[in-house]
Order: sequence, then C-alpha cells, then structure tokens
Amino acid sequence: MSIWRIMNWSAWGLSGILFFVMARDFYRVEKARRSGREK
Amino acid sequence: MNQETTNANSIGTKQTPHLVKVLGPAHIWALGVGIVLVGEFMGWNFAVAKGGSLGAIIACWAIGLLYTSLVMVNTEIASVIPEAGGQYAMAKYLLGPLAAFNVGLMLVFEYVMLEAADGLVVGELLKSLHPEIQALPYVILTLMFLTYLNYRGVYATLTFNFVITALAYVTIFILLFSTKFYHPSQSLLKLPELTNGLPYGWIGIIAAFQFGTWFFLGIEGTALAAEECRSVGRSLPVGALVGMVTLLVGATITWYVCSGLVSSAKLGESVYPLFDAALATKNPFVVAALFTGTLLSCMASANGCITDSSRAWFSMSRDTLIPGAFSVVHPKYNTPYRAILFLLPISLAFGFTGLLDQVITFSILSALLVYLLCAYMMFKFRRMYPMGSIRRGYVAPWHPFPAILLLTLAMVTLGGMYFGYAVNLLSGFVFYFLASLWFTLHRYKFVDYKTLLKAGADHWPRPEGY
Repeated sequence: MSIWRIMNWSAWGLSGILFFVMARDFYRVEKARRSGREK
Repeated sequence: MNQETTNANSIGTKQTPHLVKVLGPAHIWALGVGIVLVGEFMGWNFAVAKGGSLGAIIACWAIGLLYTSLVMVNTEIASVIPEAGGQYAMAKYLLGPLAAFNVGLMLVFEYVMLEAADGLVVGELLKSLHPEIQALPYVILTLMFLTYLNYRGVYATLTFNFVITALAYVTIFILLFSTKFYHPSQSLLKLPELTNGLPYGWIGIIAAFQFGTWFFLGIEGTALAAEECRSVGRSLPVGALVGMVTLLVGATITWYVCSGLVSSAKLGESVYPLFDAALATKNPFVVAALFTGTLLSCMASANGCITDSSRAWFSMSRDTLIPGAFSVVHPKYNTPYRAILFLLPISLAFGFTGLLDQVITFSILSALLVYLLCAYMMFKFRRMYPMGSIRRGYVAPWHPFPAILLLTLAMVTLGGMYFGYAVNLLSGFVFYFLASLWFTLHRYKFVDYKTLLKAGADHWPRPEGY
C-alpha cells in the first residue's frame, strides 16, 4: 500500500475519531440536561 | 407561553451557561480576515475575464469602498448591540422579526455555503499533489476538525485562526518579494506585456464587481462575535478596520503580482491565481509557500464560517424566530454546540453537490442582500437614536455618505450579477420569498417580542418617534 493510500485512510480514521469524540460529548451533555443534573 | 419560548427565555440567566467574553481585537481581525483571505488566493481573478486587468483592479478598489462603508456602518451599530448575530441582531431591533429572520437566514447561507466551498477546495488542492490522493476524506476531515475546534471553544478557535491567517497572508509577501519588484532591471513582473487594460469598457467593470467582492466577502462577519468580545467598543472597531486595511493591501498586492506574472487570458480562467503566479517564478520555495498559503486560507475561511453561521443560527433560535432547541450553550465549553453540529451536515451536503460556482453565487447574493439592508438600517438607526441619545462605542464618520455609497455599490454589483447569473439571482429571490412566507404563516405565532427585544430594552432608552 502506497503512502498516499495510507494518508487517505488516516484521514478517514481521524474524521471517525473526531466524530466519535463529538458524538460522545454531545450524548453526555444531552443526557445530563435531560436528567436535570446540568449546572 | 410555549415550551420553545420558555427554553429561549431561560438563556442568559445566571443559572444557564452563556457565551463567554474572551475575544480581543486580534481575534476579531482573525475572524474577519480569515474568512475573506481565501478570496485573494482564488475567485477574484474571474474579474479579469469580465473586465480586463484594469477593470479588475478598479472593481477591487470600488468594492473595497463598499466594504469600508459596510464595516463603518456595521461597527457603529454593532458597538451598541453587543449580541451574537451581528447584522441579524441589528435587524431585529431596527427592522422587525420578518426582516431579522431573512437577514439571519441570509447570513447562515452565506457562511454555510462558503464553508462548503472551502472544504471542497482543500480536498481538490490535496488531490492535485498525487493521483492516488482522494479529495473526499480530506474535505470531511477538514470540516470535522474545524467543527471540533468550534465545539471546544471560541478562544482556541480564533487563536488558531489568527495563526493560520497570518501565515497565509505572509505567503503573499513571500511571492511579492520573490519577484524582485523593487529592482526594475531584475524584476520578474511584466505588467505592460501581460495585462490587457479595459477590453469591455465600463460595462466590463460593472460585470467585474461581483468577482471583486471575493477580495472582501465575509469581513462583515466580525460583528457576529460581538457578544463574545471582552470590550465591544474597542475590539470590534480595531479588529474590523485593521482587517479592512489588511485586505485592501493584500488585494492590491495580489492583483499586482498576478497581473505581472500571469497573462490576462490565463489569469481570467485560473483556479488558483496566486499559486499559478508562484509557478511562474519557478522558485520551489515560493511554490511550496503559496501551496501552503492557499491551503491555510481555505481552512481559516471555513473555520470563521463555522463560527459565524453558528452564532447567527443560535441567535435566531434564542430570539424564538426558529425552534428554541438551537439556543442552548454547552455547559463546559460555552459554545452554541447544537447550532455548530446542526450546520455541519448541511454544509457537507452543499459541498457534495460539487456545484462550486452555484454555491458561491448564492453565498454572494445572500451577502449583497444583507448589505442593502445594512445601508437602510444605518439611516433608521441614526433616526431612532440620534447622536448623543445613546452611548456609541464607535461613530461612523461622514454619515450619510458611507450608507449611500454602500447602497449604490451593492445595487450596482447586483446589477452586474444579473448579466451573468440572472437565473441564480431569480432563484435566490424566490427562495427568500418562500422562506418569508413560511415564517409569516407558520412561525410568526411563536415569536415572543419580550424575548426578542429584551437585551435592547434593558440597555437603551425608548427610541425617538416610538
């Protein structure tokens, strides 16, 4: 596999990680908001 | 009172997280110049095809006057309306809910579409490095990364924007000095041989106006971060006006270098004019610098667009003009996180259409409509609150000339757009008409005037004649 293809997959992977991190935080905040634990 | 209104009413109270005041003049400069700078790396050069080399520089300076007037008008009004939303917030106090809804929508579309175009260009640029590189993962990664930055906090976002905008701006000077313009016998610039003057006369200049806007489109976004400024009266005028000078200097240098290195026929069709000019120097360091500069300018623009579009959407929601769900601020990062995340897939969807010119034309049309309303708002603002009746952070000099100039040049630019994009223009008007119809028939009943005008009513005296 060439370096360019590895870079392509790395970009997909990093996008996935960023999506996961934001989605997890969003879920936690929304859950806290709904349960009334939000400060 | 319905649930949406209750939700929106609670924003801004002590118990609720709110936008934080952390931004200084450098951040405002980074927000304004960051959004715009990409227009110096691409797009403006189509003015050469429409109006010739001379037509392009005349359009650049004429549109520079339009934007200088706009920044003066905006800064005066925004300095007394320290709320997120910029021109939208001005419209709600000065024009009413329907106009405010339209201005808010225009701002969101202006920035969301620009963000989509920036993402597309980043992908295409990287793809040009090697045939095996795919554009799509980099388009998505760029927008994801910048959305994540915006999600985490406005201070880090605009500090990052300051760094990448400054670096991109410096690359224009690297190109300028690499041409040895200061040494007539060694200069690479061949303006007399490569330029073509005014091939289509004055009509060409008018047609070139819409592409002249690329040099400055988005600088008005500085007003959207007013609520997050430590000192609105200082940060906004200093950041916006220094930004305007930065862009005028950058635009003139860009025209000068590109026109002296690339023939007018090639320049009028170029996708990346500054990069093509760098290639003409045959200096690998300059080529690499301009490639990096183009990439960074796209990222800075997309970053600023995410900040601005989310603030406009957040403000509309907080004021009950759209559903209140988007008026929530992140409890830890103090950002309008729902608005930021909601607009990401919309921008991606526009990006995936691949219709870059259509996306940009709609963005420019939306911006011009906002400018027309800004000029009208300035007249109304001075009538409602004459000098001395209210404390202004900044006073626009020579009123009413800036407002008249803004109105005239925005109308001429719209006229110029009509020559090349009549269908797009009509479609844009139909879209905003239908949106207004929806608002009047289905949304007006949810608008709570007390919430809408609360911040202004708490701060200002009753306007004259009301």
